Amino acid sequence: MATRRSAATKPSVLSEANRHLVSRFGLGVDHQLVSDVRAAGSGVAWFEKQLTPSRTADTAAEAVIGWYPELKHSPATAWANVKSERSSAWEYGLAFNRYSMARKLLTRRHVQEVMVDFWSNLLYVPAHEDKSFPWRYGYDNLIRRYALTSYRTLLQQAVVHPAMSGWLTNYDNTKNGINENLGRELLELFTVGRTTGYTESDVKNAARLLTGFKVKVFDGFAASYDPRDHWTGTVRVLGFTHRNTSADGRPALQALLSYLALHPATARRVSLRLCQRFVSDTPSSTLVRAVASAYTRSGSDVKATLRALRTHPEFLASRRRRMRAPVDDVVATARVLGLRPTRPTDDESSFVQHALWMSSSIGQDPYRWPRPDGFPETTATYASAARMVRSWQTHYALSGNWWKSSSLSRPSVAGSLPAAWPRRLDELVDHQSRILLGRVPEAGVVSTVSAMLGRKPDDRFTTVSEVSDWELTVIRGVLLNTPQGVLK
Amino acid sequence: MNDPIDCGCPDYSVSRRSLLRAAGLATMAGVVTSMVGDVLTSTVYGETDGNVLVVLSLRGGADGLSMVVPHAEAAYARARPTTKVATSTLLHADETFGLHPAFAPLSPWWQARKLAALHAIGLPAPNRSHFEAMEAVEDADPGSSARVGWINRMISGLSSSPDVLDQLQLGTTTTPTAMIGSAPSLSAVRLDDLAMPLAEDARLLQASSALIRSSYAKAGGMVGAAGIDALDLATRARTIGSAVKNQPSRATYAQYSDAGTALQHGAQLIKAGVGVKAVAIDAGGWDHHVGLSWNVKATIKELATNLAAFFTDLGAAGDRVTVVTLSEFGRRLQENGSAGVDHGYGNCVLAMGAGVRGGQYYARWPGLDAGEQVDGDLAVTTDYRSVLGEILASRFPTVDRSKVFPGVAAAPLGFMA
Repeated sequence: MATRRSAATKPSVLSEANRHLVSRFGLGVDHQLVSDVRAAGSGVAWFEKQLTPSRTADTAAEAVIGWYPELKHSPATAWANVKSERSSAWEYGLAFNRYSMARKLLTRRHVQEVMVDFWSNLLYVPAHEDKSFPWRYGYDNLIRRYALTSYRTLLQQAVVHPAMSGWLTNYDNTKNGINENLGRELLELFTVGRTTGYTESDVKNAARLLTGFKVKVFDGFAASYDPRDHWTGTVRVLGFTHRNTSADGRPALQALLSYLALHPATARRVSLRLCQRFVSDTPSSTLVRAVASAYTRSGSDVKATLRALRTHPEFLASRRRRMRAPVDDVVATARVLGLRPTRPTDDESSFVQHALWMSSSIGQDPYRWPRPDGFPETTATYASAARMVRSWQTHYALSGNWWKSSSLSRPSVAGSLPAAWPRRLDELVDHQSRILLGRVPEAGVVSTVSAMLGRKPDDRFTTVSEVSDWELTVIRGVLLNTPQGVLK
Repeated sequence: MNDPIDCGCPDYSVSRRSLLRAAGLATMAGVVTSMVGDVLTSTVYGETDGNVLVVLSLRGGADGLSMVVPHAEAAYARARPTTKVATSTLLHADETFGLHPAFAPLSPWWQARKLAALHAIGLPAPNRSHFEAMEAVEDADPGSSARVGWINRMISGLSSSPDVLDQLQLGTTTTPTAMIGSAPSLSAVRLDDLAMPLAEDARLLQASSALIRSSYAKAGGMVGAAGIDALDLATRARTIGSAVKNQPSRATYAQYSDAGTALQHGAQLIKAGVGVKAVAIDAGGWDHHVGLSWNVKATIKELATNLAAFFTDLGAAGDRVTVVTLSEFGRRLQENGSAGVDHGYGNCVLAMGAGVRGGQYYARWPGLDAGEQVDGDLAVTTDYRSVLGEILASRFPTVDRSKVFPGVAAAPLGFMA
């Protein structure tokens, strides 16, 4: 077992280039991540290893499903429980939210989990919605399985999944009554986007190819395909034509989905969102073109596309400038503080639940965005004054465990500070800045902490027992509430 | 009850607020502290009796044809074989229109001529995308590529130094497009628990705030501006909190309704006189692709219950509050295979409260015959920006409407006094 990094008086920090890469593509630069990057040899080596998730053991995150066994209920069981009022769509959704948050807080497979979040926000299905909830956990498994393959594969799987069919009412789309809902969002949100100028006829034709998929919504939720409901006849969607003569329309639909996934407008649209997620709200057209070109050349391969993004000069130049979205803020802060959820003994007071409430109060209630377009990828949406105040409150609350969360593993004061004593106050501030922010404290931090604690910067603590939880919380709160605490 | 209105200093707040904005750039703790003291005063005792515009966004695309039913149109009955609203059940019907029966909670306001229904309103060109249409509705300046919303332009037009409390989005922390721009805005579920951490202790508060002010000023950009605005906001939040607590709710809002909760909080803020000018609230759930009849009934009932409660709650303060509903598009005339309706075009708008000449319908009604439809939808004969301009002309006459809605020719329907 290696010595804890925080035992050093001046804990080593990652180089700025390494830190930038793993912080943008990760969920928070905690001890485990720093040590994983060291073990890999560089940020780039770590990134490459992350692109094959099975190369990183992830026992803690894999155990989380055991905390929320109801998520493994078959759709029929879940529906029976709702019908008999033993549970509800809202409670299943809540269990899913807790499961997803706990994975974010614990996983070592950062890139995979970040991409699960990204795709879940593009191919968005909420957690607690009445017509899709029994299938929501299965949908998440599907997205995780394909998160680092190709968008073409992911789209082909996700669009026909019963969760999507329930949420966007495709189960009710038949040759005798076309329901355009999923067909429209397929073009507008999941693939080419409005700028291609597709017509109402394109929407209708996409909807026609989507007929035949059934989910027995509000009646056991069994999913099937019924050729008798499939609309046959030639369809044209943008440049795609299919005679669609077979009663089983699934191969024709898969051909359309493949066409749409590889369409240049989809390449641009997906690339723009990736650039917004990983670089800035307003990426240059040069960057988006470079990423889209890698997407197209590789047949929508996720790894090739992400590599093009991370090697681009604009990505490298955007260091420490990106504002964290609220969920990212809570997760990354918890991670740098060494806070890890454990199996909940009481869901309501558990740390996982508190992390969800904190995210919600800052401005992002995971999987509860009410519309099919997912949360905005641009962070300007979260840059309101109220958000900042909530972030500042939350940083203190996490630092001091002010919500008194249960089922939380939290390092002791001694386990968070240097091993060698005595230490001056300014040394402790420097130490914590390296741990929390990966750099030395900015001007004014030491004097502010001193003023708040009523001490001088060179006051000595003879042993670690002289540092109270309160004093450590103030040091951490002050550091996390500088701009670097909300930037990545 | 504590009544802060009669302080005799209607203009006092503006100059103090201007000073605060300037002080936001200063980093000396002494200056900040003294300014904070003044602002606390101006917030509660400042310009508290101004007019307020409440924009209720019916997100999802409300079916205006079910809300304000064109019962005399044979084409309506033909296109909605399973989902039409029976004429005999309509409220306050005239020879053309009638209100859906679920609007019953608003009947007293209709009879008191406080509620008007407008029809065939919408964007100048059809757009059946939820997101683009809502973005277009809220930006309301198609000629410009700048992403600045119309409410932001309105607030900028009302004061050369807009305040962070001038425009509020309640019920969600996501800032709507309508409020994005140079004037500060605030989006929050509630406003009364936004104090700084450690605010109970003056020494801790002052030291931590001074560092936040200097470090965010130095950082600049989006994060810098958000941090400085946040500090200004938080210094007033505790006062807002106690002012709001002095405004008990006197009405029953719809149960389990996020919009109801947000309206209730909005009513408290308006009554408390924190100086808000525009409030945006989302009332979602209108995307009725399936089961229109029972879905729209429930959604209208929730809307009507909330609006009735809101004005009951406001009491006398309601005399300075005007509510307008907006939705990104109406829905298709022809019902679909799921007894629902897909995305359409022309829509209705409800206007309620101060300045509204209510108790009647307003429309340049195009009719629903095949020759009058636009791609199977109700046509738009009045640009929604003209409707909003009519409200601004009546309630915020000092605003230059040509800057809020550039290039829009006023075509008043006459629904505002």
